[in-house]
Amino acid sequence: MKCKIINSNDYKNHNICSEINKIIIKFNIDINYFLNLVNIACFDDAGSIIYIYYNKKNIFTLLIESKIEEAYLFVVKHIIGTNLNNLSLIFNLLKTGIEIPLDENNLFTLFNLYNWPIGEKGKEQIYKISLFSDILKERVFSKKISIKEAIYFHDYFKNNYDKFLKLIPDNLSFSQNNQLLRYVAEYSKINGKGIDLIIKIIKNNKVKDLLSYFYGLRYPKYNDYKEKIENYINKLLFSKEAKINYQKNFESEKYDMVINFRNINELKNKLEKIDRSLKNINEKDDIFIHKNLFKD
Amino acid sequence: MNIYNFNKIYIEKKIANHKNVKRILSKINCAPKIEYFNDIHKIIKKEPFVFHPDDRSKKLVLSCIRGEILQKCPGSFGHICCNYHVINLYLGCPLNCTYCILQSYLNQPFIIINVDIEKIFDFLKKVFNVNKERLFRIGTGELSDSLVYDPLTDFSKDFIDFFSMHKNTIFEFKTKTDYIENILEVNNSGNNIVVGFSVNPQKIINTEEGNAVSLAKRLSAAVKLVEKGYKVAFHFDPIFNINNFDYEYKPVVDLIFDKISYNNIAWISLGTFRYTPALKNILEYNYPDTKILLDEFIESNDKKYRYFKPIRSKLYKSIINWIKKRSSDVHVYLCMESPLIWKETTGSLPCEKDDLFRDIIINKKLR
Repeated sequence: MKCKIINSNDYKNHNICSEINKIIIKFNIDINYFLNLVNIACFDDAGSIIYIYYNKKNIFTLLIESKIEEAYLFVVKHIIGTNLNNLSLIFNLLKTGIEIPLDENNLFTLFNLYNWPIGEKGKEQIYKISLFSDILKERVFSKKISIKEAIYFHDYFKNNYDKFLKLIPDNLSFSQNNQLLRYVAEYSKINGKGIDLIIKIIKNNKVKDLLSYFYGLRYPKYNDYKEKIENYINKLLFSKEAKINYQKNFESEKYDMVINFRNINELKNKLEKIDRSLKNINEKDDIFIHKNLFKD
Repeated sequence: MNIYNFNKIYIEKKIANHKNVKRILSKINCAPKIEYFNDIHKIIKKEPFVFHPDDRSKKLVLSCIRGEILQKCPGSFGHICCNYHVINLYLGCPLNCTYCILQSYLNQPFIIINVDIEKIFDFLKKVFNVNKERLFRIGTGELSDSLVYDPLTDFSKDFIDFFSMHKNTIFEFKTKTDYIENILEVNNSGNNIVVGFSVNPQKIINTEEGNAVSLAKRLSAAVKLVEKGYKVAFHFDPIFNINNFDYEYKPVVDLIFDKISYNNIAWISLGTFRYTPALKNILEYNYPDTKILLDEFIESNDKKYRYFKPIRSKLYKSIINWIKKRSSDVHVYLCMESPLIWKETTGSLPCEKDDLFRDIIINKKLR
């Protein structure tokens, strides 16, 4: 692509110029002051020169000798760069690409530069992010919540969810945040409960551990049986002597017992205690057997 | 939706004059653009990627068969496999079922019909002749519906002719259509051809099986096949844990046995809905309103998500109970299930009681 430096003049601004200016200022892109020296221009459909970046102080202009589509890709590739870690900046660059509008080929080339999903899915993703509340956007851009889970959450609750987002503690990890949003949205879908009711539930029950609480609501049967077997294991009263592991998905009836010991005497003592404890079980049913565990 | 309404057809140059290509083209009424190719990978790269089955089935590729001709169904780690062998005749399906694994399993944005079926038969002939003592259970319903493109290809006739001659095989067409005209036209002399129908309550068909035919049409097709001397099979797969489960599913079992005598049913398979994380992603994208994921699914040992075991077990027990009340002799098997679920729901492992599945599953000699 041909470029040349010309004197800045009284050219018109492309309607996308203000967007590009905003991106450059907001994300402090001009780290080498290049854009403090030169404006950027290209040709419009009629072949006239038109600014796509303009700072009135700049005496010189970099003229990219092509139309806006190629010129925008040139700016993105060579001036802004593709090795970016800032999701908000990437989103703004792609959104601007759609607004120009770039044709599909150029747009998907742009998506590709930032590892964004290609095709309609990528376009839809940008459109949906632009509908997020500011808080949800911020959490996505600061990589506390994934785009996928944010879209799922937003699609269901529309825009009414900021009060809930504010209740989420800061110390949750990326995956915990995603799980929480998923559990809440799915619980709400299954039970027809709106976000206001969800907030009420949290407040009325003074819920501290949101993640476990909503996991329990989302998977009530699983949670009940998990509690049942853990209570049963606890009743065996040898937690100091041995640890019983069960398969967390309950797909097998096999259990493991782990006993730590340093010598034969210690092992004998532990086994005796375990034996005594097993003889004293009062439970009618052996809960380790699934037929009994899953009996309603 | 007209599932044969292609807007583009790609034809591999090597088989451009193949009689099957000519036959398929003569039966397509729309006027799609036709392009010839040498390298299928170039087409895959060139075509924009689409996710939805309706979009993927607008383009058709007529090509030579690639890769292994006879593959063993991959089964699933830690789960009992029914030792099904598959021939990938068609790749991709236009039936638009929300739960379909092909959405995530296939990565080509079009339907492929492998045209040179004589190559398939040449290969199989050698395999069957070398393994005369072994019983092969084979189907074409893994990467597509076995009959969905049969009105265009007429391949079913060739398959019946071929497999009828090989008595150490059981061949199954697996379908959610009623496209059986070709099968009815063939003189069924083999007794080893089975047409399997996937079944679900009409309520599920309406919401989750977009372009498939109704339950009534599937059963009516099954009746016609039985009248013509074919064995039929039924696949309750995927089974969904829906409200009023008994009310919705029991009539399906009853309808089957009301219309078809148990001794014409080759087998009935059961499999509850299961999904991989990749399928979940694409399913939520393609069908944002579906409710099939809103249940208690737990990650199984093969990394697939299945209904939490007591839920699954209850669903199987109910259907098995209804089937056994109508006939205790019909072969029932579970698809991709753990030995524990087999024991809990059927009382035994497949090879312990059922001769047919003992032969098939452990590759015993033919009786």
